[in-house]
Amino acid sequence: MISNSMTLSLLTFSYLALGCMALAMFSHFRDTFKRSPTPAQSRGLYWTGWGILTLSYYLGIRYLGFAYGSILFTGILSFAGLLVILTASYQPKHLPHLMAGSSSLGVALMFIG
Amino acid sequence: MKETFFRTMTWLHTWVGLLVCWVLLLVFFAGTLSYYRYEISLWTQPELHKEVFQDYEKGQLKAQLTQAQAYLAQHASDAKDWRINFPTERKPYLSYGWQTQPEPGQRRGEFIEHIVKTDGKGVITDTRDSRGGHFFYRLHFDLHYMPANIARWIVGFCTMFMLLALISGIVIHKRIFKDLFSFRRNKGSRSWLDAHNVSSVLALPYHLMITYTGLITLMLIYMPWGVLTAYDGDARAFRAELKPSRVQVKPTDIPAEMIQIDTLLPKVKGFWGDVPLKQVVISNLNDKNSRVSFYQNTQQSVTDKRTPLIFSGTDGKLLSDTPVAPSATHVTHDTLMSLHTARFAKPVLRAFFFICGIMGCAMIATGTLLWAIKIRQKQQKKIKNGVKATLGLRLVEGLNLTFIAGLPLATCSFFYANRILEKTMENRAQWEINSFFIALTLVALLACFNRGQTSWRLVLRLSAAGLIAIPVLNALTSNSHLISNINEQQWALVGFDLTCMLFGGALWFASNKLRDSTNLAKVKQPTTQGSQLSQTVKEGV
Repeated sequence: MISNSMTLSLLTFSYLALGCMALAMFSHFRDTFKRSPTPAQSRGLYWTGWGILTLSYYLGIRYLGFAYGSILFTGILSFAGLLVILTASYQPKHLPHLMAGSSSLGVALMFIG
Repeated sequence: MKETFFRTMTWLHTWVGLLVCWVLLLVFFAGTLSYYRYEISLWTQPELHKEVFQDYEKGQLKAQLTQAQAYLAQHASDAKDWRINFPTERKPYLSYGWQTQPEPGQRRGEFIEHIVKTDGKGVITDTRDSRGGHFFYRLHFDLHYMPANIARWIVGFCTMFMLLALISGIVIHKRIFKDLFSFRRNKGSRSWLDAHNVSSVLALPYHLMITYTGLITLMLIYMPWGVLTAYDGDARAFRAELKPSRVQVKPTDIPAEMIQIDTLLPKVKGFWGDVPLKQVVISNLNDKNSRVSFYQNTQQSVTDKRTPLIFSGTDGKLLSDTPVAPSATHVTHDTLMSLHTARFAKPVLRAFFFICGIMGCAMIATGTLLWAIKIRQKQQKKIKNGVKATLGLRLVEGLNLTFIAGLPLATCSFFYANRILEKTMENRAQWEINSFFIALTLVALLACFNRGQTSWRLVLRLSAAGLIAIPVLNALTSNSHLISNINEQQWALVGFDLTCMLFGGALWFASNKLRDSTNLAKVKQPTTQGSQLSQTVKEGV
């Protein structure tokens, strides 16, 4: 049985991953950092996002089984996406800080839980 | 070719969506609330809030069964069947229930449930008559005030349209990935389109799943021909083969002594191990053909496995087939069904299902609001010159006000009626439901006269105030309150109060936003980016 803290850390990792993917886009990067991303930065963020997503999906199904893990992960993705959108539209400058904060919380929770 | 294709799809999306969106909103809203069906039911029975909640205890089973059998034999010896319900995560109490003998001409008798107090001695019998969460569950596919089979056809029709709208929506949304994280606020109709896109795309897997599996749940009503052909028109034979345990055996009318139910426990354990039990049903009491069925609590398993172990009630022999692996088709169907009902979902996953459901409501609401805003924009010049808005626009705006702002208010009044109506009132449960629809009708009447901002603000504020005050109502009309529930870790009740407050706060925020913006309908002209949008509307007119 997975603990709720594990689910929460999966949520924070998905937030980080989707945040990276948002920042990989020109307009969101500009809103956040006030300058344009280099192509390398864009690509890097994009693939980092995918990497973290894959990893957290793997963690999810490893601890929860394929069926339950996949369903939970889909739900987590929807909610994390909503949070990223809200941050990117209302607090674009703080998106990186929140990403960093949430993922450190996630890592901490993993070690505690 | 390509352009005509997109135009056709846009046309389809607009009209298919608009035609059924209010029924869909009602269905989506009720379905979303149904995820918390038992929690809502618990809240609507304040008699149970003290000295009743307990956890499932493996060691107690034997004693509980013995006691249940003695109690039921004393109080319900002439019942049609007995049901002993063990505490589960979502119904955290032990109860003895029975079904009275049906009246002539009726298929079912009356269901009575007595809830056992934690001390194991006292029993609560005077719970108020209320449908609680089951009202929303039934509303989700049976609607109300109409025969269930007609309602199911209406809901099925709307669901089919929803599936069409989803697929055509995916086709016409050319920038799904480019705009994945885009929400441009304070940009008039552009923002509404963004909100529509965000709520649709983010929860798209959920929307597709829930719509498709929704059709599957009632597929035998919509497409009965396969079964009718294979079983020579006898749908009952099909159901019997699908779920042998559902077949009811007839009593023989030869009286026979019942065994002690608790003596069956070791056999059940032999088959299932330590799986927690959910329910024991005893049918055909004191008859040679009596049956004792054990149901397990399926917990987190994604397929349903609702197959019981059935024993003879007179000699304790196992009568059901020893569990065999179900066929692939059966498992697929089971999985799709439980995906729809989220029966397996633990609190966190349940919360995600709920959030996705809310996003579905938002998708439908923003879609139809968007239509009304764009059409009003088109007619702006004429309206300025004193010409009345067209009937279609007035109708849509009225229905929007009624359903989008009215549903929370109606729900709120349902909860208030549950606590305020006299406990002994005749048809009490029905009057709770009536109050839901009365609130909706009142909003509809208001919408006949004024569909402007003031009405929206009034309705939103009313429901906001009502929902925020729910914990107060709970404290005044039950023997527990938010703080005591937190102390006693009654998270279902705490969650109910807090969720109501949260939604009340959100509605209050929305009504404030309304005051800030000049007018819902007065919006900026679409920019070049809105070309897809204006095309949508052009096709829509």
